[in-house]
Amino acid sequence: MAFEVTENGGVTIIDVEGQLIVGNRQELKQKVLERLDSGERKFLIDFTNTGYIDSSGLGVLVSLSKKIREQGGELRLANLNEDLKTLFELTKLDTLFHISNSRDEALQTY
Amino acid sequence: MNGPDYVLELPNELDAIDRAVSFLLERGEEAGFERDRLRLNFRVGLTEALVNAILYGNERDPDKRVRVEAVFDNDKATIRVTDQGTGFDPSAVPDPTLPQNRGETGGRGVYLIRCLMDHVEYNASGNSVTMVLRKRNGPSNSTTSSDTSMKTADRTSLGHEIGRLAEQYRRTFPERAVQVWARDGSDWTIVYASNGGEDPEPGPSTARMTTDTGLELALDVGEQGAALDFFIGALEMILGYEEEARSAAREIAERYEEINLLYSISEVLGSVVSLPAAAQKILSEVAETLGGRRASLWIHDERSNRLVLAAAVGEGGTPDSIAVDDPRSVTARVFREQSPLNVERGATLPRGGDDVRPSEEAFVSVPISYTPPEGETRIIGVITLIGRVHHARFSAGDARLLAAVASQVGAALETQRLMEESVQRQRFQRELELAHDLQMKLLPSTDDFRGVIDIEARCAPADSVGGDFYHLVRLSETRCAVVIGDVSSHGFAAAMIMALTMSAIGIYARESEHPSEVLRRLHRSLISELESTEMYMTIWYGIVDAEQRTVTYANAGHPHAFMMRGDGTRERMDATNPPLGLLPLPEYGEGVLGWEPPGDLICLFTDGLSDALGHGKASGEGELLDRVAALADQPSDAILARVFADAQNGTDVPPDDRTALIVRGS
Repeated sequence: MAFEVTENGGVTIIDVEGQLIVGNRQELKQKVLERLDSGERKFLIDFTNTGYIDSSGLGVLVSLSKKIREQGGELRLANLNEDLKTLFELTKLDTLFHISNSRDEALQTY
Repeated sequence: MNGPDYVLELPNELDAIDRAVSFLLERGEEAGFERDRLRLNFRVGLTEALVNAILYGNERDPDKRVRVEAVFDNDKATIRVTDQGTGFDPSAVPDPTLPQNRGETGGRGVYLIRCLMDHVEYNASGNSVTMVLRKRNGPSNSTTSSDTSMKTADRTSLGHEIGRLAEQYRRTFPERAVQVWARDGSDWTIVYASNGGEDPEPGPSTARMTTDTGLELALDVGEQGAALDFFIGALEMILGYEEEARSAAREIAERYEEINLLYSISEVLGSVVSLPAAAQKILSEVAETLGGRRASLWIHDERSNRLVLAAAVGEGGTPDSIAVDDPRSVTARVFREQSPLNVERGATLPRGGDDVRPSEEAFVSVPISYTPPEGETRIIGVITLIGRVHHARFSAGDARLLAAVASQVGAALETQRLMEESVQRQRFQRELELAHDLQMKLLPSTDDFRGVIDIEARCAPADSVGGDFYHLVRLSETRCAVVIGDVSSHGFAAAMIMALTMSAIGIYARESEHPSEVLRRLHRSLISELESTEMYMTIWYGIVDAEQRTVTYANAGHPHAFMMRGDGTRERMDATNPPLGLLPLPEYGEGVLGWEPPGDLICLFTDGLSDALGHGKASGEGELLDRVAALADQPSDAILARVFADAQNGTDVPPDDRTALIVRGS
């Protein structure tokens, strides 16, 4: 439902539909960690269809980013809308993530 | 009842019962009554009657008395107990063994007397009860035998019984005295003679019979044909009496055990004991009463769907728990099928699969059911008895009694479990309240800063405890550190991080003049805690200087920190770094803003407050600031009260901790 997982050129892509909030963040976490466990290392979360991320949503992105990094992988984010971009800038989280303006841009530079 | 042998006038007090009963028991022993009948039937029946007379008949009135009259005949004792009360209707006393009456406190005495005495009669007004208890083996001059069976009945008791019957029917034979002789191989003995009978041996006109045990009996009623007919009729009657007496004795004994057991169970359950202790005690009583070698009591645990051993009696490798779907466990099967199982030794135990081994021991197992005051009956466990002492099987009566016990036990255990759960919930609730109070006490009072800087603050956790906090540290006469923070979670883990942060800030704020350095040290001391709990924290740390008219701040990812100018413009005090708990940084950034009181106002808050005002949308922040600006001419505490009240209406967002501070110049 809220999270659709696909694969493109060795990168696991997760589309977030709607919101990433306290109620569904565990689901995202579980989906990503399952794939990390099965050996995937490159991840991209696409926020094209995402309206809102609350503070616990930000928390799960941070925690996933750390876990992936510990395994020698990377988590990138793409297609944040203006509000979400502001949110990342306000919290200075933009300094911790590789944030791309489009999915292709993220995939090309991986 | 003519001419009682003994008359006792008792004071209306319970202490008198024991003396009276002991006295009459001794007289009964002298009169040749069987000890077991005295101890059980006589003692209990008489005691119950006296208790009723004193407590209910005389209504504990110390001025009243109880009269006891007793006659000990050859074959029976007759006791009459009379009180001075207004009497009662014995037929109106409910049967205490019926399920609907088991909870009643009264009514057992009257029932017990009926069970234990051979004959019970109340007078018309109901204040006097006459009880008759017969000797089991006839009159006292007989050679008493403890066995009540007809086959071993000795000649005197049988002969006497026949003679007694003949006497009763003497109207049929008015012309001659009744006389009965008996012999078992040797000489004739007179075993019964009405007044006038004196022949040492039966004459030729007597009717004779031989019982199947070889006992020869002779009866003389003056007419042979009539005597023979009577013989046959009398023997049939006696056999009937014997059988009746035997089954009555059995029933009384069974009832007595049952009543005793139920009494002691309600005693155990009535006293305040723990669930395991109650289960253990009840199980011991049940095993003892029914003669079970081993016994176990299992309670269903819904979470694991296993039957957990609550108590066990006797040796044997009983496991701690059994899976409900275990095909090899008979106890699990009884639970699943919700019906009792009674298997005798050597019979095939219905185990699962191909296992058809005969049972090594007798086995009875019943489900424990519980019916809540409102709702469906459900099975909450199983009681199992294994191995019947001296017998190959448990009787149907045993199984019924066990089932009755199980239903009592079920209600009591379930009630106790629910009570314990509720006690635990209450305890947990109290601890939460304590934790809440403790956390609120950690937050500093804003009163200490009056005169220099005007600070108002408010913090409302979503749960009892939360992850939001603020802190104030006075650095000098004119300088004060102001802090707002938000741990990315709530509940106990977040509250612990909050408490750690509060105490760490208290130390670092005085060690360093630079907000960036305070955050760096704070991060260093918190990072392992934050990482292990997967939490992070946004925090704004500012030093407000009333003399220099500046605010110097470091901001680790906290979005909601604003300088609201007197001219209506707003400046966000941007994050200088990401939140704490993500990456250890060698250095932290700092920002400085001019601050011109009284027009300039510093407004700090957490997203719980703005999200509630914006109904979950990003616009909440702007709405909150607009509200504060509109209320700027009012005192700070009034502004906060208003904003928090408005946020209270935002019920369409998940609850989150809400915190806000307003800082102004004095």
